[in-house]
Amino acid sequence: MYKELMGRIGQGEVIILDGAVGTQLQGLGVPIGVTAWSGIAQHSHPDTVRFMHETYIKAGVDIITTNTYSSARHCLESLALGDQTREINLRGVVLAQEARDRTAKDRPVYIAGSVSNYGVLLGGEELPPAMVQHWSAYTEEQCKANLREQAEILVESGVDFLLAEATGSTPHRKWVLEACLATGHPTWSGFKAHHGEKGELLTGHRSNDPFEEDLDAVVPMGGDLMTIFHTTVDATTDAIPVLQEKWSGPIAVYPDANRRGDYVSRTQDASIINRDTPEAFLEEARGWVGQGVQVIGGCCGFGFKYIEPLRDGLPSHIPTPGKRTGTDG
Amino acid sequence: MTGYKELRGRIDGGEVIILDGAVGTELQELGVPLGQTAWAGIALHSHPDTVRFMHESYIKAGVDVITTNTYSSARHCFEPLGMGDVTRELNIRAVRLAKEARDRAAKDRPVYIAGSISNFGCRVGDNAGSRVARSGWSAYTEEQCQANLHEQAEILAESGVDFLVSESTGSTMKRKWVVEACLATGLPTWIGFKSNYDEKTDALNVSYDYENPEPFDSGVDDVLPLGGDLVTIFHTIVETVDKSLPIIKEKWSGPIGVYPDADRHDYVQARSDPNFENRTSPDDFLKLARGWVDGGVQVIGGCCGFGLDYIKPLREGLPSHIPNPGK
Repeated sequence: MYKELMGRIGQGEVIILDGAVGTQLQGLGVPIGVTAWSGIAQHSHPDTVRFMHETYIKAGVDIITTNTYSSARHCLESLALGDQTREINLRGVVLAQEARDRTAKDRPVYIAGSVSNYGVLLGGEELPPAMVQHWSAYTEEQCKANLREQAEILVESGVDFLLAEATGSTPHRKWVLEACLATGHPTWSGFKAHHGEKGELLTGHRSNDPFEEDLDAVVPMGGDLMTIFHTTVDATTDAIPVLQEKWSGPIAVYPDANRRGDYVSRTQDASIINRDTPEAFLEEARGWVGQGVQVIGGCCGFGFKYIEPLRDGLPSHIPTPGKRTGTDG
Repeated sequence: MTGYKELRGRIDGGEVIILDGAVGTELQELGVPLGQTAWAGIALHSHPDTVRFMHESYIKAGVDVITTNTYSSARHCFEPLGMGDVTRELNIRAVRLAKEARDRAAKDRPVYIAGSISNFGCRVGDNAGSRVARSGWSAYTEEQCQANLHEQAEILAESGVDFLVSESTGSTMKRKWVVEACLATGLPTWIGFKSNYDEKTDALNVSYDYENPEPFDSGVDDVLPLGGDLVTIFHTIVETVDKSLPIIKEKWSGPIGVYPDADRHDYVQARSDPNFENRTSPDDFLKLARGWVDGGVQVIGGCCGFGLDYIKPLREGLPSHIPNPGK
């Protein structure tokens, strides 16, 4: 399966990733909690999770992502669900497989297993007190062991590849990527950027570390494909050429909608309107494909409505296939 | 029945059939906390996807038969937890999970589903279980226990298991209850015997009950006339399997299965003891299994403590047929 996907990428095909998972579940009425965010929806709302995957497949995506961004042991233990760690992560994969079996009858759909730094208090950026109070403190060793455990469960459960999705500072990004790579399973390595006060690109949510330095530290660790994710549209457009300087292999982007106000709220805030319309998002995505980005999807706030137009609206291939499709950085 | 007829045909043709390994302790290994009251049976409620994953792993390891996680899911196991009303639901679910595992993992070969029924949680009369286990169980009359076993066997039959495995580790009285409940469904049933060697008296007994020992020899004599399609020695340590096989062979001319246990002390603990290692390695186990097959045993699998690592080598490592098929 994965070889087939990378073969298509090698031929210059544009691949469509799903959109937001957590905020899309929130949009479907699943209450989001801070402690494990949307990570316990497998436990509380399994059919809604499967429905979300099916909806993305019907919208034409090539890749769906398991709802496991926030279901490592340290997210679940604070809710007394530590003993459900395997069950909840396994079910995350099973629901994606079931969605594929039910909906993708005549074309391949690949399953990406998400692993992130969510719920890791130590070694990252300073977090708002409102979040910190929901999490238990763990040692670095415990966090790493939990991430490794989760990555292994996802691989054993049958994901086609892993998505390392750390939004924090460089140490967290390293921990998550190390856990994914240690499984021996193919991994896409994710980066997040934001603009500083002077318009410079910094890494993570709040870090003052230059984005370039983060790339220098993490890109050499490995990964088949580098992604810029959970990054605003503007910062994504600026970050792509920086990444392309450091990495000659294929690139994916799946930005977020900059809805800081309600990502971790129980329900969506109807008064917050995305800055970008689906039409504007499609235009941006066309631009990124023109820059050679081969995989396009959405993160927080960019759900069904933003993904549906991509299949028909994006070109089938990047402009000069083969130019940016090597896999050795 | 089509499924079982095919399996029985393969057995009659002398084929060696591979059964899965431990169910309860394998779930424990996968992080499911085992309880005293319903042991691994509660995983049908708390960890259903992990149960399906466990079955899939055995199918991928090449087994021919998977066993439902229903060893400890009769009504008397669930009632003390306030879950008596989901007895049918959880036993149906156990069979559904095994079927889903078969659909997902066994694409191009037959895999048969055995429904497990035991005396677990039958707290009545003599040999009512260990003191620890008893503390988690309610007291029932003999009639209630028997009715619960009949109920469970019928649910498993209605849910579509290919056959039943009677897995009683207790007294002959309880072994008879379990066998009778299985046979009453009309489904083919494999009759399981446990053998326990008492060093002090140099005797083989039918259970762990050292206070009221019942000889294995007469225990087998009491149960075999009830019926059954195949006889197994299960949840018995490997040395005692070797001591007990000649007795079974003397009394039973039909096909025989063996699925021993690993002699661990942590079977009924929430989590396995990370400091305790099995004294039998997967290589040793394969050698023992080869010996049993050479001696005519046709069905090989594992019970408590002999999980996936022990079952994986069997498909490649065991001969495809017993030495003198048809004998």
